Amino acid sequence: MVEFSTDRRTLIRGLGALGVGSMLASPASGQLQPPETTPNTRATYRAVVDSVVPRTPELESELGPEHVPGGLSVGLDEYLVTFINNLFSFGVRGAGDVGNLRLAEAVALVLDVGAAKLVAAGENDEPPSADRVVELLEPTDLLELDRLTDDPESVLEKSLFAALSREDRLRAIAGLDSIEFDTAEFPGPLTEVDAALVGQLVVGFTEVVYYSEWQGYADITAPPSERTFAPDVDSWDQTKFPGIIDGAAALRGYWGAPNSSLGGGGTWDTAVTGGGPPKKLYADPGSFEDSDDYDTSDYEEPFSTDGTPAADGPLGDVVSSLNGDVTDSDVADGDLTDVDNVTDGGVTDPVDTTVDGILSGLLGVGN
Amino acid sequence: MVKDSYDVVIVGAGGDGPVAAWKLGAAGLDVLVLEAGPFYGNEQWPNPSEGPGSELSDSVADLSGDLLDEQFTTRELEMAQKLLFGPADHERGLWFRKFPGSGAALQASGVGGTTLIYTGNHPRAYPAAIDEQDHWPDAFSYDDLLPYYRELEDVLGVSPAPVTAKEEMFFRGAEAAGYDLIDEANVTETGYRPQPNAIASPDEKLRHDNDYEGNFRHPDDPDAVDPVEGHTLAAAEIAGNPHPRGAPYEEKAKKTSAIGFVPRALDTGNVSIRPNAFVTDILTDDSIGGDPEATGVEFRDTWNGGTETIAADTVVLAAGAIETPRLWLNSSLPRNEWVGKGMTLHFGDNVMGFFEESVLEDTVGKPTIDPQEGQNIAARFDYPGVGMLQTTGSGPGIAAILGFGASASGFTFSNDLSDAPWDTQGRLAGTELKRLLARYRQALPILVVTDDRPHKRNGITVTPGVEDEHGPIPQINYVPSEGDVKRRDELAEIATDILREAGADHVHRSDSPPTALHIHSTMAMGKVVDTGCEAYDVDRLFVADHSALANGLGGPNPTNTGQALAARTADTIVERYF
Repeated sequence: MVEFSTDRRTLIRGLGALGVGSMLASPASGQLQPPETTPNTRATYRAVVDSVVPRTPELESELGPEHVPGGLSVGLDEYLVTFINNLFSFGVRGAGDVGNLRLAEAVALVLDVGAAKLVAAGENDEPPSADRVVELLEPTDLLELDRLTDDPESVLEKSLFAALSREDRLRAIAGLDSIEFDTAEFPGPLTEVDAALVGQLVVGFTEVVYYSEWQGYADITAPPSERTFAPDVDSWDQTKFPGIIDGAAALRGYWGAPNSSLGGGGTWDTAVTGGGPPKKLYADPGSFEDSDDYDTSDYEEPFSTDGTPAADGPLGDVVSSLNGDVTDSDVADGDLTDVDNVTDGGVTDPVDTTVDGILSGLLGVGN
Repeated sequence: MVKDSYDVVIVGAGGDGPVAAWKLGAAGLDVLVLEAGPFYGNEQWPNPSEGPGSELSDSVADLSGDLLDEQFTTRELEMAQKLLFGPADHERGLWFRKFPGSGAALQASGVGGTTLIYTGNHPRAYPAAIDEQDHWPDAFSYDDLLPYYRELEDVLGVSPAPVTAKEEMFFRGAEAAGYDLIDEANVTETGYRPQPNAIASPDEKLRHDNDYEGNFRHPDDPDAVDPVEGHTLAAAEIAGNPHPRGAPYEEKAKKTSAIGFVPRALDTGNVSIRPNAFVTDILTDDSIGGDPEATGVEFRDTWNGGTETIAADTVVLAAGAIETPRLWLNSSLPRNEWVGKGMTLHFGDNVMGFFEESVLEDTVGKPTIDPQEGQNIAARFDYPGVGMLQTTGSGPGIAAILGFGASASGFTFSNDLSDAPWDTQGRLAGTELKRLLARYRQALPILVVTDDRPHKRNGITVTPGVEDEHGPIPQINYVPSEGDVKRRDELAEIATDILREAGADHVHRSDSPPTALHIHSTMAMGKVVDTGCEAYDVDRLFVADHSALANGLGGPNPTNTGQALAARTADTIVERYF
């Protein structure tokens, strides 16, 4: 079995090993020399795409042949690396703009940590397999791996996330929503654990990019005035999205009723006749009644307004991720006993100001 | 050239800043608006994402509908990358704002701010949210907003939104579920209605049973075939909607603040707009005893990194409910304990219904709902005390991430829903995702918008050391209360009921993580600013954006109220200081 640790120092050392920290540690140099995307990272993003928008031969008989291709067949994995590496601007006061925050390796590493956590808890349905990693890689990746190391097998074994089955990878991502690192040393809001951000990056963004127009660009990173676009998009065939339109003859009229200020002009259609006066579709919008005589005297609060933080239910993870005792109450009662941000007016205590500190703060893992 | 001093400097040309600029300019004051993002549709910056361009625009003649047509392609991924909150330079990513858990802050940059991606919805606040909920000062009431609502709605042409298939499905479902049609602008009862939208009504030529064969272009376009004015019923508001193509700048159907107010502001002859200028410091003079007095700002050019200082008799903060408190906290200003605190963000969710083709044939006479047609958001459900619902048409990419890509409760396969009224909940991926997205054109998504209440724990903080080129970055903290969660659950159940009554065979609830799109009350009236929106602790420093709202207005989209309050604040500035 692959060795792993969810210890955050190990994670930060891992970041360092990937060159992320050292790259960011010298922002003033101005010219970044980004590390090349490694075969491990490529395997991880291919594994993400393979799980989120897979190739689905099983949908051919059910929905049609256009539903078979997935993200890997259009190179979505490569773009995801580019997308994540360019998602956030990175500037340093005094040094100015430094470029973008290269996050692909760090995100991939967090996914491997999530995979390790899943396997350690025995929550994976199928055992990890290096064969899955090999299957995800292109022959050129394997050649590169062979060039980079004398021991390619041990390198492949580091890609634990990619070694999981499709559904186990999703379980590993879900586990990141509640992943807990030791945050006791950290004051203030930076202690929030939001490795969950990684889940949103790799699931939410994979989905929005795949189902958007992305595939239609020759190069979406080109300057906007030089970008070329052709509406040839696999996912549009799958959603039956008709493409970018300048308009649609879709007007059914304006909703209203005979005794209402809404709807005017001729009647185009009667839409609903049950319950109350018939609702009709009119040629003109009509207007909203605008009276000074609005009456709020019978207003009631259907639910509690005391401000008690929600502790369980679907938001439990969000709540438990907050560090410290949240004892604040509703604004209305003017209780000023809030834990950490009252006395200093919202400026929390300084934390680690090193670049690793910033990066790990972004990922919510501390350093 | 930017001058050394102005009567008023406004920080931010977002949804509200241009309203204040127009009012102040019309009163004869010399106004500079500083905007962190670019200026789209302006001849001074023909390629605003590719180079610095000019410095400043002060003439309505600079505005160009043709440039807007070129820059706003309405392709959803490209437009999101262009408009979400970051520097103009297309090679640079977004400015990072830290959000707890898996939520996100969805601000836009550029002249027009988040109205560039907003859906044109312009309802008023619920009167009870101001007059009955106890967050607002006693000296301020809904009545104070009414004249400003009326004036600005008239300027923007706010009117009931048109019906396409998706609205008809929603209205039918709401009727069948027993809800009443609301026809009041000042909403005090529960019911459903068309959205009051700041979008010009579509041409009658676009009636669905007409055989329209034109190209949806404006009469001013020499290439127009069977030209139309108003909204063209391409659901493109989130993607920047510049329709109708070929229209002059001011004639674009969707009235962002850049379309609705910037031309009026420039037309006064007294307003200059300086894009690509990120304000990093508020300057004050405290030599006179008492509270310090605002004397100007420092900003940084986002292209060349150079800094400049501008003097002003009055400073107006209109950078939005995240950036305004951030700027205060990063400046050497008095420590008001409520700066940044009490944030509300309408704690949202998404509930999506899927319909069999045969059901749609029976109700709307065709096998599809077509969420890509009509206005993005054109139908709503109001419930004072709880919040609201609104239908949400969009392109498939946005539909995917809203409906399936983000959740606070893991993946569908790990959720036990035996007691829930919806069929699936959570993130969806893999074969099931592809199966449901194959029904994109038979889907009706509903956005849940909760009347979450201000809690002091929620808001914006900054931490020295966690900073970018503009200083410590904003960190957003948000934990809803038990009441907020119950309000949201109630709305999700009503949405499900309406979808079922409309005939949905499958209902999916996202259980979205807290996401900051409607953001308010971080510099609240009664806490940080007085009823004229001037800071209690700094003279001549005003707030004219959604951060001055004392709560989330009950749930209605906040643009109308933010703009009405900004207009009122401009009047107060003139009264107090000029």
